[in-house]
Amino acid sequence: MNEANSVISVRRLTKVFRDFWMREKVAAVTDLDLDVRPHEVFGLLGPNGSGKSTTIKMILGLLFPSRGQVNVLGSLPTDVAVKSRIGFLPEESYLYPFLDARETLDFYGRLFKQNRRERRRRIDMLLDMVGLSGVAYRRVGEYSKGMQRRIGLAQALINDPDLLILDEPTSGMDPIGTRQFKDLIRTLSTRGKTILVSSHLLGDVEDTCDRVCVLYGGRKRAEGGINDLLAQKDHTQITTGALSDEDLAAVNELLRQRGKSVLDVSMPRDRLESLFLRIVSEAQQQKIATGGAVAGGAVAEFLRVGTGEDQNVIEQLVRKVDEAQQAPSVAPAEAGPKPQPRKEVLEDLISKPHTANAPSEPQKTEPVDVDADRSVIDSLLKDSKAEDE
Amino acid sequence: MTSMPSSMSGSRAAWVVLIESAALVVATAAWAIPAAMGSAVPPWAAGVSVVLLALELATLVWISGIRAVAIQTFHQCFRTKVGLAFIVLLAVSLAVLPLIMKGDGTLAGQLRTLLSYGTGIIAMLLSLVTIFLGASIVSNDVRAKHIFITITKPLPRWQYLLGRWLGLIALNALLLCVSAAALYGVAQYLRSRDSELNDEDRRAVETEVFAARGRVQADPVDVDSLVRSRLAQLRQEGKLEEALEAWGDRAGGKKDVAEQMLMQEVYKQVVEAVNSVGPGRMMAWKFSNVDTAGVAITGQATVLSVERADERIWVRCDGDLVKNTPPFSPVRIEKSHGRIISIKGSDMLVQFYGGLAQLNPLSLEGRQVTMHVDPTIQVTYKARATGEIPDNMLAGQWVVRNPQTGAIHLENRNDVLNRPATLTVSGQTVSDDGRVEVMFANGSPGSVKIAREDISILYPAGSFGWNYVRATALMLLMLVFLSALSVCAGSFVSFPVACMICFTMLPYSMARSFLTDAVRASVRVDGDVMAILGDLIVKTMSVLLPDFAVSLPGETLVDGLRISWLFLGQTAAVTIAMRTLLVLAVGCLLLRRRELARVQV
Repeated sequence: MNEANSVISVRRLTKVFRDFWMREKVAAVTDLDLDVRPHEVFGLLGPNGSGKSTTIKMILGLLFPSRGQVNVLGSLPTDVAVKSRIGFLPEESYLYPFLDARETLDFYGRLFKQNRRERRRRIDMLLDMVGLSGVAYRRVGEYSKGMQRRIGLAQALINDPDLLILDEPTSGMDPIGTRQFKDLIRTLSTRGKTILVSSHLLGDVEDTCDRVCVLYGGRKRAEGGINDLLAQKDHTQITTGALSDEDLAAVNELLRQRGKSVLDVSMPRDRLESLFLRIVSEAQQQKIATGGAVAGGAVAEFLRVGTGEDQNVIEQLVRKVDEAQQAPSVAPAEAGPKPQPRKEVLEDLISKPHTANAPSEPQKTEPVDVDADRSVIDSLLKDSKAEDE
Repeated sequence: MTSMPSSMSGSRAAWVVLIESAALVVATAAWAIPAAMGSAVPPWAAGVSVVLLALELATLVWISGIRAVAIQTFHQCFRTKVGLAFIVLLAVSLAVLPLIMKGDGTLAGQLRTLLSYGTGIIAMLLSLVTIFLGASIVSNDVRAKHIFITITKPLPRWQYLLGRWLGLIALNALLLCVSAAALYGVAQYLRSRDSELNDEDRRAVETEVFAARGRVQADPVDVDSLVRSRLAQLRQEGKLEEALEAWGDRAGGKKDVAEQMLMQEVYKQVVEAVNSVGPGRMMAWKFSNVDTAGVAITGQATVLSVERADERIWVRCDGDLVKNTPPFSPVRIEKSHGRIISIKGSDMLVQFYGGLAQLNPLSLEGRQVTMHVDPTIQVTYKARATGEIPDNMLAGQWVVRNPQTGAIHLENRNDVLNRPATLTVSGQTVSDDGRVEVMFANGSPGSVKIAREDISILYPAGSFGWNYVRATALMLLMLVFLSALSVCAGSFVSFPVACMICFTMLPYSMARSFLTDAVRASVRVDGDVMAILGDLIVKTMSVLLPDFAVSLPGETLVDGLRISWLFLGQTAAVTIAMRTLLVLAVGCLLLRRRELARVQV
């Protein structure tokens, strides 16, 4: 991919954060090369603190690179003129809370030097598109988070941008909004927009992006087309109608003999989540430095709830949870069922505290146990849900 | 609010503004710096600056990005209820003030107090509002990350900053207009309410408070030549050597030191002599450049009654005369000169100087006469006793004379010492080239001192209304500077630090002339390194910071003194071109180089 054709081209980009005495504290981004091609939806993935947001801020000129180059639509990010072709939705609503939706869009429209009639036309259409026409005269500060995301999206689109930069676009949105948002991204993409999405929500990225780049510790760990990255090239998946055992035997027979027609053959795909977790855990195993969050360790010592036996109960619980949680991160790519059936774990955990309790003080310990149970259940349920999807 | 699509690209707009600013700064510096050194400046020089200034402001407002940010800033300030809080505070202050402050019991005193404290409170409250809003408006945008969206639009950072500044100015202008109008209304209400005022108070209200007067100080006396002649006299009398010997003892035998000390002593004595007058003696002052400005008002009056013993008559006047004539105005009826000593409704009591004979008093009653009210000048003075004076009252005769025609105003007066007193005199005592002579014969048993800075001639020079408008404009200029200072401070440091910077600058600005004088004095006396360093710092500050003690209208307005358009224009040009633009330029540069986001890893 040569630089001239890229909408965004990032070369050996490094951002080092210095403290007051100009000592280097953290390398937020290190030697990053990126190319976002015209008309594609590009996903920027990475755990918290991996440098996604820093990269986007450098692309927008909100931060200045320590080293390396950023080129956006053929200009430097500090070039004001190029901003008229960019739409930006930040990770949270940074809109003025005292303006209503209409005034908000009107203000940003003015900054693009649109005349009054044009502003009004676009504002009406955008409010209709994001479903806020009915509440257009309420102040943005009174909106729920999802509504603020919607008006945030509207302001990003008011200039009909060629390049759309979306930072965590679906956070705080309800499922319907999320669905609409994803459809919108696809629609905009088919209309020739180039879109850069950064997200934690892997499902969203998987559904919308053409290409992704995974960052860890400010470095690029993987980049490529979403199909290329997720394809398991050593397997083949055949999809057909319901088959009886005989049919299956026949299919096997046929396959063995080769040459018979199959309805659908495709490579089975990794789930993006598995890919993501694998990359991150590999990085962690290689002890690559990151300024961001790493997988949490044991619960801090000082977080005690009670004394004596109660404490042991908690410790046990924690250990169980750890085991349960470690399973996907240690062997994320493993297909097939988990080694331990979920229900049993659950029951095991729920029953344990009661047997461990001293019978003489049930009132004192019970609330603690209930709380502990809840969190365990929640975490397990979340896990299993993620697995089942 | 029509949005005209601006064809200017960002960088072209920047060049236009930059060139205009440079022209403004150069044009202003060309006359302001020589003026600061003490040389005379033609009035049109300030005019050029003001035209350039207007052009620049118009350009700024025309740039659509700046206009959008300014309008948004105005909304923001109003919706955060700052304006409301300000108006409530001001209303309470203005309502309470006249009740608790009665001044010296006269209406004039009450009005002076109202205007003084009123403008003071407005200026103070608005300064606070400006500093808090200005310091928060950009720093809060950065802290709350609102600026992420705004600055990733095609809006250059300098336009963002100037928009914020102009929006704040618009808010200030609105609040200032509302509050100044309220204060004006209260003052006019108090003026119209009390119809049973005594005549002296009424005169003071009409000619000293609701007035815009020019002031002329007495021509300087050549003290050096007086000192020389005094020394010559000492030498002639053979007392000089004697005195030098006496001083020589104190100076430790050094002759040059003794000479210097003697010179200082003689100088002191001469100055004292020039400013003092013993009992039964006279002192005189000369004034030049007095401008009577006004013209005589002529109207019809009917003579009601004649008090022949006191040589005065009651007349009933028509509307125009009543409206425009303060008590103690000099009048002419036919060929007799006199003055109005009392006004009751539309009836006036006229006292004649030269008797009633010329008026044919027998047929006077009931007659229709033509009355001319001459423009007046006022001599104000404050005398201090240097000897024993009973009752603390200064008695004496005042003579005001036209050196050209010889026309004389003569008045015997008794004034309270240590209080300003006013002598109202016909404008006919001013010569065509604006010269007046004033003499005072001390009729008290003790000597008194009237320092040269304590006596001046005041002459009418325009209406109070326009003076008030100019005073308000001067206050706005201060707020324009403070807006720039606080917005720029807030653009590179957090809100509390920005506030601290502004509040540190404010007292320096308020007390600048005092500081300058103090440092200058210490340089003259000591001449050491620290003093020279201090002088350098103060000189730098006097370029960077405006001098609110001079440019704020407070005392000038209260004393009924005129604020000239020229002064307003010069202050506007210097405040904006030399200081505000500099602050804004620094702010723009800092904001341009600043990383608006933080690295969050």
